Amino acid sequence: MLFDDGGKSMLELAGITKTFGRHKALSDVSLRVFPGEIHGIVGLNGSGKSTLLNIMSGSPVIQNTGGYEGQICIKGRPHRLGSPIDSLNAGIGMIHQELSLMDMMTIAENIKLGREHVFPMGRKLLGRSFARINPGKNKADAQKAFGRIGLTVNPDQRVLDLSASMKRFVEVAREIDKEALCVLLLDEPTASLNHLDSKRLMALLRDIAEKGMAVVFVSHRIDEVMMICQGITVLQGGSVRARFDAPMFDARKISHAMVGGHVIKVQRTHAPHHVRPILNLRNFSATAPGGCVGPVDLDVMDGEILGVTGLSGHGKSALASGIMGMHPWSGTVMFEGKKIDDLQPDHMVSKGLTLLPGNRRDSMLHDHSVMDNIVFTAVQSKKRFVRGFFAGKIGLSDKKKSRTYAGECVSQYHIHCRSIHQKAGELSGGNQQKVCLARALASRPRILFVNEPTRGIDVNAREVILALLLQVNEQKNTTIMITSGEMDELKRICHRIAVFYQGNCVGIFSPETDDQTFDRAFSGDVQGRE
Amino acid sequence: MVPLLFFVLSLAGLYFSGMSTGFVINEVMTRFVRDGVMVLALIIPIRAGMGLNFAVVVGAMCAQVGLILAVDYQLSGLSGLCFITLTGVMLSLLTGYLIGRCLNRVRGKEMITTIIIGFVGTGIYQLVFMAGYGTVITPGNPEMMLSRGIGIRNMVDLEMFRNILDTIWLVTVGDVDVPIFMIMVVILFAMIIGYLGKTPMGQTFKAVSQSNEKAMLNGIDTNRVRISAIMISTVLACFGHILYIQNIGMLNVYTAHLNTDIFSCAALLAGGASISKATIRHAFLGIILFHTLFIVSPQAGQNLFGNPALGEYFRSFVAYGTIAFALMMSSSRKT
Amino acid sequence: MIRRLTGLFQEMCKAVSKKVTLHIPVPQVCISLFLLLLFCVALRIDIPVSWLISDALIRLVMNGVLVLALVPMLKTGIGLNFGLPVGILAGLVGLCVAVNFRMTGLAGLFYAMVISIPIAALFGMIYAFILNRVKGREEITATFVGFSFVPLMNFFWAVAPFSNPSMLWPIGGQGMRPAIGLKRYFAKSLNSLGSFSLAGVTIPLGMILFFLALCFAVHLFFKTRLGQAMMATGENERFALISGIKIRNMRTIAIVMSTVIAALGICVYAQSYGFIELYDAPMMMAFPAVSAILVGGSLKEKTTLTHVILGTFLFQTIYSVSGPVANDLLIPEVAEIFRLMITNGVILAALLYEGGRHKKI
Repeated sequence: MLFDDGGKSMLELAGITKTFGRHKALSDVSLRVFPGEIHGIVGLNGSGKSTLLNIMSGSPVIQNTGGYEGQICIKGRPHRLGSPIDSLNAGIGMIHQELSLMDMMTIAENIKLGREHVFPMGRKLLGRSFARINPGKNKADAQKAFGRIGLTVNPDQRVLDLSASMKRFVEVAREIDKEALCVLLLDEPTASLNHLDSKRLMALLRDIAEKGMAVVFVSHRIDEVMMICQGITVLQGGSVRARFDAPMFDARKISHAMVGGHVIKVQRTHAPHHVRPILNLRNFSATAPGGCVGPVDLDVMDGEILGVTGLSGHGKSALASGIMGMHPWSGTVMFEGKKIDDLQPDHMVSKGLTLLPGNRRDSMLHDHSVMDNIVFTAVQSKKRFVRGFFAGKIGLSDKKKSRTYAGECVSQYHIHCRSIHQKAGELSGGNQQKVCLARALASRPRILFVNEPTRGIDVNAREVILALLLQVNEQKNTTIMITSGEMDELKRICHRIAVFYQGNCVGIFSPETDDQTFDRAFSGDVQGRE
Repeated sequence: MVPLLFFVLSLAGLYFSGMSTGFVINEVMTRFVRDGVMVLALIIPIRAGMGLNFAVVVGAMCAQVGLILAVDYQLSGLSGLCFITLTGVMLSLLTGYLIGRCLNRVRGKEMITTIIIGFVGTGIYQLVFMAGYGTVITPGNPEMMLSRGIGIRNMVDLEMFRNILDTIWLVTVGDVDVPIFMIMVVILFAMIIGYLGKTPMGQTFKAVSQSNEKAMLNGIDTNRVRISAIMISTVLACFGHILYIQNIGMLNVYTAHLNTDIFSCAALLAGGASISKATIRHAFLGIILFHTLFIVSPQAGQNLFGNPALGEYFRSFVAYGTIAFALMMSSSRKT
Repeated sequence: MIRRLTGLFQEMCKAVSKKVTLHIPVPQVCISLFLLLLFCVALRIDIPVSWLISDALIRLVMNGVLVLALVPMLKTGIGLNFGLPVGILAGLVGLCVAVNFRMTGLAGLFYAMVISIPIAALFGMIYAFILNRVKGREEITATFVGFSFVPLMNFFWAVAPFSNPSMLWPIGGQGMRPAIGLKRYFAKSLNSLGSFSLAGVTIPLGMILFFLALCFAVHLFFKTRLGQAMMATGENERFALISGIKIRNMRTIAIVMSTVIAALGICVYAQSYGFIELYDAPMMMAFPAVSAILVGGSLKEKTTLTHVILGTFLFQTIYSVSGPVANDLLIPEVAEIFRLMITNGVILAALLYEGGRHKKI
């Protein structure tokens, strides 16, 4: 289904569909971007934005997993994008979320990588690959590209020594240097930039667009997207949820479309007054692969359910795993009033802090039975379900006790499985999550950190898990810190909700706070109370 | 730090062995010519981020195949040498391609795979020449066969090729014979490798070695780049081994190529190279240091402990230990 | 009508093949068929079957313990222990000490094993220290640590203060011989323990029971809390970390275990072979063991004792049968080359297969 516009659009996507195995990442996505237009694409993590960009840039990841369906047209001509070269030839340039510069190479080398100028004599004798590079021409090109951005650089400088924003500019220069460029894709380009540099980059993008290029801008910063785009497409769950055109941009409506709606069933009714903090963070920072958090000053109260939220990449998931000692950290952490000097995972587990990671791959032994999974952590750290020999160092697992306990968990948490001996990897997502939760609870933790408890789980299973968390908190007074992007779930069960933006805690709100305040907090727009 | 250690050990060994400096210099120069290009061959895969290429032994075997065929067809002189070079290079390109394909499948485990490939290659080679000749392949030159009719003899004399290149521009300075032509040949190869670094191909090596993903994001076909690196390395190894054999003047059919990979790697590392970085300077310095130690060790062992074998054990330990040490020192690899 | 029948037949075949592949994976079927072929050829050229079977059994246990030594490190996710020479050298020291004090019979073998264990533990700790520093490159580093240990120990063999003259060079009287005969000490002591004949086939019952007991001990170990922790480290390291397991300690224990079992393995091997082989002999001993466990179907963390036993049996039997067959059909040296090619070919194939598997994910 091609748009009927007389072929005026620069970029046209029609019916783009992509499945990874059983998971449908994109279904029937269509998009149209005109020359001179900056078009924004927004959506939560997992909504398919990155996949869409990967398809357009010919990423080998897409190729190796079965390719894509649908049609892509540039300037009216259809193109099959099976490799980065195809995209290059079609006139598509991409600036990725991860930096794609070679740190140890100079600016000029990076800009011309793969398209270096060579001396003609060498090319005639030995072919392009083995001809001698003409460094002078390369440097001249680099300077010219930067000139178009409005900056002057020393093309011999190593990229390693540049600031984050300069690195982004080098990437832009690299794309501009490509002669056939007519569509520029940007995936979270301002993620590591400060306010001033973001503005500069956006001014640059406006310039580029004015010269006739089509720009696709993917970002989590809704305020920026609203500022420079002429059109916004909202993706949710792999399909186009809504489309907005300037000047009718409404941040609330956009956020709302991103998150989607759910069946409300579980609701916290018990509203105790929590005064005693069980965990104190002062000036705490942690650097995780997916994002950094901190410095943060936070008190977690004993017996409360604290929600931690914010847009992806803004540090919320790094908080829990950072406290557990899984990443480089700094600052002060006090548990039950005592300062912890050495944050090691085994240390924290023995003290009674347990983490349920958001990635189910990391939180289960897929080839082991449900029973083995449930009792595992308890066996290791708390020595439950074990018959000890040799002073408890070598303990043979007490099969009978394990079986009984696992059986109890299965019925209590409604885990659907053939038997407790079934391999955990065979269960559905929701049931796997229940097994993980049962495992975390079997070690009777004081604080339970849960990352994304309901990600990738169907509606009914979600409610059960939320109910379980509530139950554990109410009956056993376990403190729970839930990191999640599902706002409405957090609102229903948390006592307090902390919102993070760019690694800092923007504010801690009560669940009754209105949506608008939350939306603004998500975009870093509120100076809330700490 | 490593070159310094080697320097100290070599000096100590030189002192204890009581060998004349002139003799040692002569020997080192000979080995420089013999092993130089082989060590240089290791540089390219390191530049491409593939670690130590122990499969250079396959390149060496390709050279030997060329040689045996030349003896078989009774070619001699300069034309014979050209034939050997041509056959060796073609075989090296083919085997290099295959090895490159294998290594692309085992990303992250290239080094252990190249060792095993080397063993498998040796097996195939030995099978062909020990059992194939005389049964499936009819030899053209019965003089090089074993008396029982099957298999090539252990030692093949190369009088027809000896001293063709060695004696060109041989200059004697006091005790020392300096084969200027051969040294220049080695330097020529070094210059080729240096030149390669200034080409687009060289840039892709740098990119792939830094980060596979980033290179792909930049549109580089990393598989092709890695295969090219190995092919070049194998061809250079072939050249290197040809220089080695013609210098020795005699071919140990079944053992000449063994341990070329280990000793070349150790030499390169002795010069200060690491698993992820190697330059021509490392190669040259390493050859001098490593081989000095190699030459003086047995005699030093004899003089110090009355047992020359101890010196040999010492140098074996140094060879393997240098590689183990380099592996320990390298930072863990990102996939 | 015919179409329906063929459709039905296809369904049947699919069902059958599903069942069959569940039990025996394809590579092992191929290897077994190859073995069968060799057997038939052997029979054709009049090599007695009873001898073949006895030889196979003895070789199974003789090499089996060394293969068993690979299991702890595999299960803990460290990879194939190419550094077996480290443990083997420890065992050789134990054997030499036993011979030095002229211990004979089964007691002598036992003595050698007991002495080897602390030495192996010590060597293992050093080895573990090195391997823990090279996460991601364990296999290649293990290879070279093993290779470096050999010349280091060569030093020791050359200057060691052993007094038993049958161990030393006859001339000069200093420095160990490369091969020390065990006939007067404890050669074949384990082999002959409880050994009996059945239809012309000698079955070394004591030896087999010893091997099975050792296997069972390893099996039991991995059912304990510690063993489970080690397995989790191998299967899913991040999970183990989150569960509070000290990864570094697990790896060290696995490496030390591996080294100790290897030391026991060389004791069993030497007594069966009848000689203690020193100097460069241990250098290449890791490769046949690695090959054997791969032949058995081991897939990194998913290694079981069936892989050990089946793999050793298949591998060693091919070794023993191919010898006389090749010597008879072709020339003698070919047997050795052939064996080398099988050993290394299997390892290469396994590396490529595993690499290809990872790529698909």
